[in-house]
Amino acid sequence: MSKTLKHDLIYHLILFILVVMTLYPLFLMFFTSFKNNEQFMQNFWSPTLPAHPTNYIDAWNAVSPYVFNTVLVAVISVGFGLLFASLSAYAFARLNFRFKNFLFIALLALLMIPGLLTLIPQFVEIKAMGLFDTYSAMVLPYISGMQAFAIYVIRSFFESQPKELFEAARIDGATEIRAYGSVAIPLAMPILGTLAIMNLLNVWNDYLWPMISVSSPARWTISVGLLNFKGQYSTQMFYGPLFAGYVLASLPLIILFIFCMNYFIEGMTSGAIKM
Amino acid sequence: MLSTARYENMIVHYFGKRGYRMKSKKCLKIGAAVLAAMMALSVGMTGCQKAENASSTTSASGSTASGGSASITYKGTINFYPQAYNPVAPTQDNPNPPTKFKEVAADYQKLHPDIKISFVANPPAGTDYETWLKTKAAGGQVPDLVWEQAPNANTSASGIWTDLVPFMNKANPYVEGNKQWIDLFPKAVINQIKDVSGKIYVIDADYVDTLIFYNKAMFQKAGITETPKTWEEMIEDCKKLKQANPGVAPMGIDMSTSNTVYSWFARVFNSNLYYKDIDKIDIDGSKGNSTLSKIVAVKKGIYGASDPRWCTEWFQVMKDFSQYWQPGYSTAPQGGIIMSFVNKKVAMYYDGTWANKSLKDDKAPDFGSFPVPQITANTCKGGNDSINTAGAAGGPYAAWQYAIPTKKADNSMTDEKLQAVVDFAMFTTTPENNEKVCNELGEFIPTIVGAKPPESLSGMAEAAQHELLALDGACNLSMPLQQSLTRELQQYLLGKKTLEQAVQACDQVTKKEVDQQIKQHPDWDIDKYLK
Amino acid sequence: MVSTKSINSFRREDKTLKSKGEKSQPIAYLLLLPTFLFLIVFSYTPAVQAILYSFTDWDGFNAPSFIGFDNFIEVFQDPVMLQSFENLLIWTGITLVIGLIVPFIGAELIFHLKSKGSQYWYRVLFVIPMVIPGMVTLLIWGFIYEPNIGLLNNFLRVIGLGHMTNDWLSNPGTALFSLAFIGFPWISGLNFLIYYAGLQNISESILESAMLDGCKTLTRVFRIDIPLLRGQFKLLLILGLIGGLQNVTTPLVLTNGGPGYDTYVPGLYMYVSAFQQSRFGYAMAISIILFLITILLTVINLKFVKTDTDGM
Repeated sequence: MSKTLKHDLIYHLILFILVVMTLYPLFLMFFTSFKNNEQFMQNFWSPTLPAHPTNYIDAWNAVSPYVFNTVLVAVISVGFGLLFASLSAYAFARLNFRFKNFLFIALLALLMIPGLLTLIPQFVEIKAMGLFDTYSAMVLPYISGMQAFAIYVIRSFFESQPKELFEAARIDGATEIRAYGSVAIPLAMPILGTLAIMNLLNVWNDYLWPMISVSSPARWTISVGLLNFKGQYSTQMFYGPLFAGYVLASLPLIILFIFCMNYFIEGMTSGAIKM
Repeated sequence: MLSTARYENMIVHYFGKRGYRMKSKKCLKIGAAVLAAMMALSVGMTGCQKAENASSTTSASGSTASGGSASITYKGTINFYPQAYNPVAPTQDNPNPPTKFKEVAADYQKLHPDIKISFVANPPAGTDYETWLKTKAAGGQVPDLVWEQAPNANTSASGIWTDLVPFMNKANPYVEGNKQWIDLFPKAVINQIKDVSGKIYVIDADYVDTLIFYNKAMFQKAGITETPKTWEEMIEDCKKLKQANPGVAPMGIDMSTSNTVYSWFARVFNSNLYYKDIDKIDIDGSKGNSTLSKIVAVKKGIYGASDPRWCTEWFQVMKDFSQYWQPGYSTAPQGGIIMSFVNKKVAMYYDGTWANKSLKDDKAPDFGSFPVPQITANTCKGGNDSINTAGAAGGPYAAWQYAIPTKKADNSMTDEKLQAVVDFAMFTTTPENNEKVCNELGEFIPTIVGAKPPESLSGMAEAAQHELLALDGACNLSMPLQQSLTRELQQYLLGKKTLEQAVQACDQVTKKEVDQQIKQHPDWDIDKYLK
Repeated sequence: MVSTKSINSFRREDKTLKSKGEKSQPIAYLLLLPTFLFLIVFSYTPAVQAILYSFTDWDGFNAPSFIGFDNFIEVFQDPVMLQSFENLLIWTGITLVIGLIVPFIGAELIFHLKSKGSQYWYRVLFVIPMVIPGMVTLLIWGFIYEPNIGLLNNFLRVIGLGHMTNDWLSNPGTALFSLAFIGFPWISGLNFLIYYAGLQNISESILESAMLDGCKTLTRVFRIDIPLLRGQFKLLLILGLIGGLQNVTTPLVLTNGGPGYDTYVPGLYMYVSAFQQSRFGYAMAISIILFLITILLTVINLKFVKTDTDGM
């Protein structure tokens, strides 16, 4: 045991310093969120008592609609997006049909298209469809945007599974859809989970699209709303409630992370995404 | 018959070989259930949302058409964004918002019970207003009566704003004896806000001025007994302030792209330097304020790099001046430059007359104000002692500039609604209402003929009755142009570009803007002025 | 990112199915329907529209008018564009160098730990910042760089380097670099996870035989780890380049492209052209150029950067 420790000591030292440097700003944000302004001015570097959880009440009033909107948009986008993607990946992996080759290449071609290219035309389209400033406008392009990569990955996954798993379903006389539902999806749960998390993060963190597709404050997501929230404190910078708002905005993802912590790490690093 | 259990066993068996974590699987099951529930909830919410949208539009469109040009038949809501006069709820940032427009709206609603005036929330803090407005226009959602400065309205994409001239020629039913609505506005104001083809997009009923506010205590400490009357005196004062108050910047200037101080200085200097050639620029009686005169001046090269009065001279003055500014002047400071003054980081700062109220609200240290000091022959080449242009950084460009969008920019606008919106606008521009609303805020003076400003601001009232000499070098053609010019000045001040490079870049970007505007507005006829 | 090998293998497999005389299963089209419906409306059509609009002069409100290649000519003559690309090169250069090297070092450090428990916990800790929403991270870094009470300046004052405090985001000398260095100490992130996954994939036998051969750690890293991780390097290189090209939010939120045009990047210029200057055609032209650069980089990456799996 001590041999391990001795061997590891130098690594631990360096890593420990790096972890502290990485996490300190977040830690600062967290304990500052409980301070009022005097406490902040006097003691910048460490937590102070008494704590002021009232900051969270102010912040919650302002930030909760944004959190709700973001959760709504993220869940719908990722849910439908992966649903459609897994259906198509199943088709590409297990079924045979004309134009299969062509359609797949067409799909992969989309991976070349950077988000910036389609950003403004999508805005123009949404406006033309009369969907400007609606939840649909926020969700639909995300669903579309995640298809190419998700299908590619899920398909690779299906391909790498032994055929017997799927054949067994066919022998039993199941329709393809049934096979899909009962076999393919449970099988693909790990990869779907990883993709869900990746895309959830993408949608959660996006700023440009929610900014341009939506103009009423009621529909803002966290990215857009936090800027406005910060601007409201422009005269006197009250960092307590401001940081409380940031913490609240981060909470849903942190909760998800704790819930599926193992999975998050294993999923990303298990090599489930074959390069 | 298939059973998922059978396949689950296979999966577990298969993954068992790979060391798949069962724990994660359970986590996923819970996660999946939560996901499903949320998706169901979300879809349900979106459905409710759509239904709500649908029902609200149907109720608004159920209006009956009837005859009589004088009768307002519109039934429904009018969305109004009055900028500084917006009767919002008090917030931390804004503890004493105005209330009078609510009264005015209530009075109007008594006369027209089928119409409801709804005040639009302020745009998000920190956003570029023009961008916000343009995005709304692209989405067909501009409020029915909305704040927009005349110069910007005149150079917006054509088809966004309704031409108000036909309505201006009608009588205002709420003012006794009024034959034409346009008579209620000072002629000088009308002259300045017309667009190139003579259209009027903006109802303009207030006026603003700019002042330099100073910290009385710091001035005393520096031994300054009188406010500076000339530019040179001001620079001398800056030197004294710097010595006497270490750590405090003598002058607070927010030269960022989110502020318009560039155009204030441009106006003060250009009005002074070009004064002798005012006739060359003033081609339509607007003293160089109209969009038309600016465009023609650029086309003729009067506003351009070849004329040193345009930028070359006063940029140099700025460079010298900038050594007294607060560090980091190219970025808007936290809370705005006004907070730097309140927090005693700067001894003086340049702001609009609205600051009188804001400074009191923010509990600023004891302050006074003086107009921008006189530019003399010593300030820069061509400086003109005989004319004081401090007021050039001001004008009918405050908060009571409201425009009405067309159906394209506001999908809810109909001819019927337009009549109602104009009627409401007429109601607000009675001298009583104009005075009531403006004087409550106390930041700008009302300009409707017959309205009286508060005592403290009476100095401005006289100015509002005359065309303002405010040659801006065309920088106010549009906000994006002004922002580009600000960036060029920033680069020169920060040493990234030489004076010549910066002025050339300004020239390039101004000419580009003018050409683009001409292309986008085929109804403008510039050629006859270029002969 | 998508290897030619996988596309080719797909083609081969497809042919075998056909030669076996397997029936076409039309139900597949039903399964593909939702996806392709969305793709046609929200991916292919916008891409085509981007190309079409780039040849017009459009204010986003009235009908567009065709102007041929004028927008593209203007892009190449626009001094702001030139500055944007200069900034982009510097910025992306810095982030790539940092992003390829530092997370790798971090991954190696953790990989070298003998205790699996420690490994696990360090990984968790380094992943936490990834879970913070992007906007919060940006705003926190805005706070770190804030000149009066920001974390960085405060820290410098406390350790006695008060003379080095700076207006990081407003100073022309430091603005761009400040933005490029966001993310300190640069370990947390996708790069780290991918490197770590790659290290985990190195088979035990190789590591053991290296140890038996008396190979010192550092030598092992250079002789074994890095060559075996070439695939990861290649992937992260292309991801970093493409990501860098599209970076708009950071300069928009933190500096608005200033001071002057010091933190202007092409993506930001595209956004400003469209939504502030109402020049949608010009904005599309900029995005087309960025798109072409993306394709060029991807092609170069596929053809010239060799990994261990290609052509062996």
